[in-house]
Amino acid sequence: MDLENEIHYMGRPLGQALLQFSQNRDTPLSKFSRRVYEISKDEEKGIDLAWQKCIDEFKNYWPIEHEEWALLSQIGDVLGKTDRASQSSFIKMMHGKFSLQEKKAEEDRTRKEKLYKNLGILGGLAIVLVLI
Amino acid sequence: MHLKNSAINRIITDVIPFLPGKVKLAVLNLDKSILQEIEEIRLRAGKPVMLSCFGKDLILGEDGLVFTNANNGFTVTMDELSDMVFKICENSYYAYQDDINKGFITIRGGHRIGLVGTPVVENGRIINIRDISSLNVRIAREVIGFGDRIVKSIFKSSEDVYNTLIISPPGMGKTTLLRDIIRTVSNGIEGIFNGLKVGVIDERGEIAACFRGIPQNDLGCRTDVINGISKKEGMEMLLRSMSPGVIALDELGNPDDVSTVLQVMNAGIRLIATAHGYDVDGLKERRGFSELFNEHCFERFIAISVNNGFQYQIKVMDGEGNVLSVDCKDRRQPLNFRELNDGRLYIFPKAHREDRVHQGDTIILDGSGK
Repeated sequence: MDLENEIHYMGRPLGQALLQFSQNRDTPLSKFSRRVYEISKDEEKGIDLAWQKCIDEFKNYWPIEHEEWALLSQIGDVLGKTDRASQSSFIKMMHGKFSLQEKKAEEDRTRKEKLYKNLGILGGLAIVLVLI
Repeated sequence: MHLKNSAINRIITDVIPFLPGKVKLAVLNLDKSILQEIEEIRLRAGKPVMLSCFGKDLILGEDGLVFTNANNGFTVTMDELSDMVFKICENSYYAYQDDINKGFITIRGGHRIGLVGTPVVENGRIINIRDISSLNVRIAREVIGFGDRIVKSIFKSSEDVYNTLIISPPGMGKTTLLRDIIRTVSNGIEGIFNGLKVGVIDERGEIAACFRGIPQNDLGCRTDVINGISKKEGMEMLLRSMSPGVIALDELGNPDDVSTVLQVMNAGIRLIATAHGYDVDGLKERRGFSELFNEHCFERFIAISVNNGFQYQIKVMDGEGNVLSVDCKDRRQPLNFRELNDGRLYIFPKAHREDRVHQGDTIILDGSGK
């Protein structure tokens, strides 16, 4: 069950929702959720502060762009602070934004792949010309 | 009679973590005699923090002393109240939105936080309360044994109870009595009563005081609790699903509930309920009750009143209003409670007072919290 369901249908408080979301999964996001829960519980911090601290911890491990970190940070600021319907639509909206970022990254990768392929061909030709 | 847990421990573990910083410190520095007797902590934006204790309003000082003069108090801000509510909501307004809209949140231990501010209304329904300006932390106390002396009068046989209505004005302990009766009816009494399946409809979370679905109060081993639902819907659900022998509910009196109450009784299920009121006669003409009285639904009435200022009088009557028994108990307010002097409280407890208040030798409390 994803985080939106945990919040919208189960109505679990955020800490419980993050813990539930992290269980039975082994993805980077589930690790992030569990860490937020742990920081919040162990350090008696609000979820928003725990979320930001967790971002700082994960910055060294996740190879994502500044824009994506900003989006993730925005989620921490809003989670828990509105009613169920608003939380649900916010999560959907952020999901859409992340999908867009993913698409952009994919396009970027394809473009760069082409570029490196062309560079490779040109480099090969240059070597051949030099050798001749 | 004994408390299930130490009153002080319950306040320290359940309530204090949510309080704004300076209130937390002040409460922790209170005389233990006051701390264990707190009934309410009143927080109002821009106003002195108050405690309701021994039936009096006491002004809380920053150092944990208490006063009667408001000038000795300290205030809290609206932001602090807002932060406190967010913390109580476990950083998740959405999970407590219905409670906020109803005006109270039940926390672990069954303590209730009442809140008021500016309601946000949509289509005639409150969808939120913003600008929270006052919080009332009501300390829950479970008094096991409160109804021991009168519970036997509602037993019809070793396997059945009478339909019973507990009547009292607000704040006299009718929910406490109901809770104690539920526990006894559910558990049974060896050799006297076998115990029955009890379905509890806890519309306002006061009977079982559920926290994350788990009753915080002991309601007995054969008790099923439906939490936070209207009495009408709750009774219908219990009828359909849980085959209870007894249905217990708090604050009967909504005319909409009458048909379902009659349905419950026609199904052979016993009802134990409470009602706001002073006496049986006063209820007879009230909408929501007149139909039930006409049908002679109730076979026992338990009326709670205060006698001579500080003594409870619990009167049990049959369906015709004939008095069967009268039980008297001391209220929690000490008979010889002294006025505060320079922020310190002097109590000379009487030996016969209930064991949750000091017993034995005279104790002079000096405000040091020891």
